Amino acid sequence: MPAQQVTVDDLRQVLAEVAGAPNPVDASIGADAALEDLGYDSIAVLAAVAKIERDYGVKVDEEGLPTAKRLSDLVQLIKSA
Amino acid sequence: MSDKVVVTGIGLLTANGLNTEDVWSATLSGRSGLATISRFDADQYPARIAGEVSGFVPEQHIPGRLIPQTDHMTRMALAAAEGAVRDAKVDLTNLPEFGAGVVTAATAGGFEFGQRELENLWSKGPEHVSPYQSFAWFYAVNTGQISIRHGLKGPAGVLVGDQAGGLDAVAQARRQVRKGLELMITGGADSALCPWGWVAQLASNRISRAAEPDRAYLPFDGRACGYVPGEGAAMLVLRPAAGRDVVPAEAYGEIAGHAATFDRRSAAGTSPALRKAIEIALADASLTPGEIDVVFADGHAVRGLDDAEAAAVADVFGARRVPVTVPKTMVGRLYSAGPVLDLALALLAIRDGVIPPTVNSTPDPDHVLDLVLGEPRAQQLSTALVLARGYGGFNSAMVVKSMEG
Amino acid sequence: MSQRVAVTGLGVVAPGAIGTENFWSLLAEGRTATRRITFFDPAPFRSQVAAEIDFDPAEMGFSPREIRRMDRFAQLCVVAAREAVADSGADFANADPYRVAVVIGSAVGATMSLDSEYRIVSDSGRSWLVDHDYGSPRLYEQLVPSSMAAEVAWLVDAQGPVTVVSTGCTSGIDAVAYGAEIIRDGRADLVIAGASDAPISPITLACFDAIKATTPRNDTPAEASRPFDNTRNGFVLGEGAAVLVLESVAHARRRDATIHGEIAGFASAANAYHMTGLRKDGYEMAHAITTALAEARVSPASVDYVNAHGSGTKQNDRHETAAFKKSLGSAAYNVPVSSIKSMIGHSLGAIGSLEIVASILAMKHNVVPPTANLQHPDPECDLDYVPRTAREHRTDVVLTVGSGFGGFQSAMVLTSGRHDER
Repeated sequence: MPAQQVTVDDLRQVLAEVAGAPNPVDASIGADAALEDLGYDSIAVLAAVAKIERDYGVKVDEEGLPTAKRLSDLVQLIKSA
Repeated sequence: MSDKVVVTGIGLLTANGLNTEDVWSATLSGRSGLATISRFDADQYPARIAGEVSGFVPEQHIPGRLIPQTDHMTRMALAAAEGAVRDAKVDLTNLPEFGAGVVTAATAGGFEFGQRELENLWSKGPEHVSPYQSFAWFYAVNTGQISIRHGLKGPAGVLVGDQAGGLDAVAQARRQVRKGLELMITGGADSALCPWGWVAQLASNRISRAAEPDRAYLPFDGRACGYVPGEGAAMLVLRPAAGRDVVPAEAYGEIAGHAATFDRRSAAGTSPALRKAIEIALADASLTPGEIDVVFADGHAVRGLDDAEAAAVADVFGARRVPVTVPKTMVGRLYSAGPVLDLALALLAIRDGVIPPTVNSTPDPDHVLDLVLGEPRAQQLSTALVLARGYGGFNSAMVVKSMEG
Repeated sequence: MSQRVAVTGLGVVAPGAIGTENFWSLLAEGRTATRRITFFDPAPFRSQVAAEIDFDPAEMGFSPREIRRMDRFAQLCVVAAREAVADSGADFANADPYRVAVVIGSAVGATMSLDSEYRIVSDSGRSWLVDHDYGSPRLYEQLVPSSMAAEVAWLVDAQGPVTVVSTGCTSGIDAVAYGAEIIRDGRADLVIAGASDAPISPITLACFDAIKATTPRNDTPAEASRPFDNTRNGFVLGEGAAVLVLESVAHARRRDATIHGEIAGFASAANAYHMTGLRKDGYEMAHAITTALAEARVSPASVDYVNAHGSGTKQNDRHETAAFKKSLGSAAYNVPVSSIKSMIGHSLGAIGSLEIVASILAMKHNVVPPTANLQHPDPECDLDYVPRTAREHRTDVVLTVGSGFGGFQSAMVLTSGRHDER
């Protein structure tokens, strides 16, 4: 599967795998959930991105990472890799 | 004003118990946690007995997000620290912002985590190494994680001195409290029960190769054949006796004296330096040898080391003049956590008026030490001496005292 | 504070400079010792630069057995300790051995040996059940870094307290502070205190790559360490050792020793926030600085030089700049601040001791070492970072700070001792 098809759910799964279960937040927030509210810090994001890079053979823009505040931002960044 | 530093909380996690009272009751009933290693298949190694902690469910103690970023030993450290804080019945948010800190001892760091990442590096490549490797294995990780978990902004410390380091850390925490800190969490946690850690320990040539758990760790016994490594965590909460909301009568006791010495090179493990450590620690506690009620020995179960320790104790106290015990015969040597466990057991012994036993060892009846063997010994206690030695010649001695004493 | 603590011996093994004099020349000339990694092929790594030492143990007088026995970090440390002991002129042979202590700082211990030995016992990561038949007889000593403090103790037959302080990247400053406390407590007459790390190994590179903490500026290695510069993008890994001899001022005067400087104050704090992250406000570091200044009875305005942590990550440089402003107030804008990591990289646990020696040498020479490679200051870092060229400057009081993983913040105040010569 190419990186363009990575979904918010895929990302959630990778995050949970490499960085642990998220903090409970309102499920209805969905893709707009802030990474910070979920309990995922910059290292958690780096761990998840590294896994996605390995699994999909892509290179995600490093400079963009600090600006990705929500799940959807990060998915966008991955899709444009 | 008194500069007494007292222990108000204890948190323990060992092969014979997952919390302080379980460890204490198991220890009094002589229940050993030594067994054949189950964590990995140890068949191919010349030693197979260890003191593994089983039944510990980290998720019950720490948030899920800490699991991927922590080694097993850090999870135990966090659980023990939490237990000690709960036991101390202290509201940490009530303390001055920089008034509480953490000093831990370490020996191996997060060795199992490290093995996994070394495997990722060398079998798959650098891009497979976890970002958490940057701190999960290093010696300072437990102090950092405990400080973060409990919001403690005071001084942070980490000491490494193999098994002796555990007492040095408690001494450093005492120093911080004397300098004005309201609370210190201190202790140790270690586990190197992964194949890589096991092989590294085997290199010391001090690991017991016995096949049966009850024959494996026999300090001061003619059949002594090395020690059994264990894993676990032991954490204490230290407070000034005159501190905010401290009720001295409710404290376990006082950290009354400490000293550390180092063996002359040509005589590592057998030099007079251990005796010197005992003497300085007693002087630091303003106690005479006759005032020490029980000694928790280091008990390496390596012949020369045992003889040297027995001689040091006999020289200071006289032959068979003070009861000596090695309850770590039930859980193995826990490295940085080992002597902190002994401190905790000494304080519980003082509380309950009973000396926990040494199991399995049967020294000669005329051995120079009066070892408490097999069964606990009921006795009024107000002081205890704990001894610890680390590989290479490190000696540390600490004296604890009851609040009445 | 009861006892004043004097520094009477110095020893250094640094990238580009073995020996204290060479170290000072490098700093005063603003030379950089960072280069493309030569210890192994760095091609698979994101960051391929480091500050390596050209160090041949045989040339430094180690026997084949000693070379086999000691990890590189121990070798560096022993060489630095030898120099410090000789420099102190103290008569260790006739000292009471129980009153001689050793405190060595190290963040990652024998990591180079552990990395290479792991490769062998695991057959390059092929087996989880690693093979003990291939294990080095030294593996246990490599597992626990205190074994290497023993090497230093043996040099002078120390039989007092011997320990390793391992608070990550503040180990080097914390170890010297711990040594000073042993003097103040009256537990020792002479303390050998310092730090060493030799972390330039594949596993260290890989884990810093993974958190993007080290710089990917691989095409210009000599300019790769750029603290406070707007174009900086991570630190440069280094290695090294620095060792000091400490004693009470009274003890030093009794034996007519040369006092290089005094340890006047120290404090540490934790941010209790994140294992690697720093809040921008530098709040906890500021607290450590304020407490250390108070212990030294020194006002912010009388600090002549600030030896910064200055690792060259954006996060650190802003964090500590904020801490300086918060703790020193308006004095922060008038005092020269510099980072020697711009020249010798970041040797993790060792760097704090190297920075203490640099601070003492700055007082000795009345020269402030520069921040090399600082060309385009980060607008958020608006203090006087002494760009590129050393500066003559009367220096009697130095503040040196460290910041490390675990959230640890440490600050030490050093004084020349000249202010009250009598």
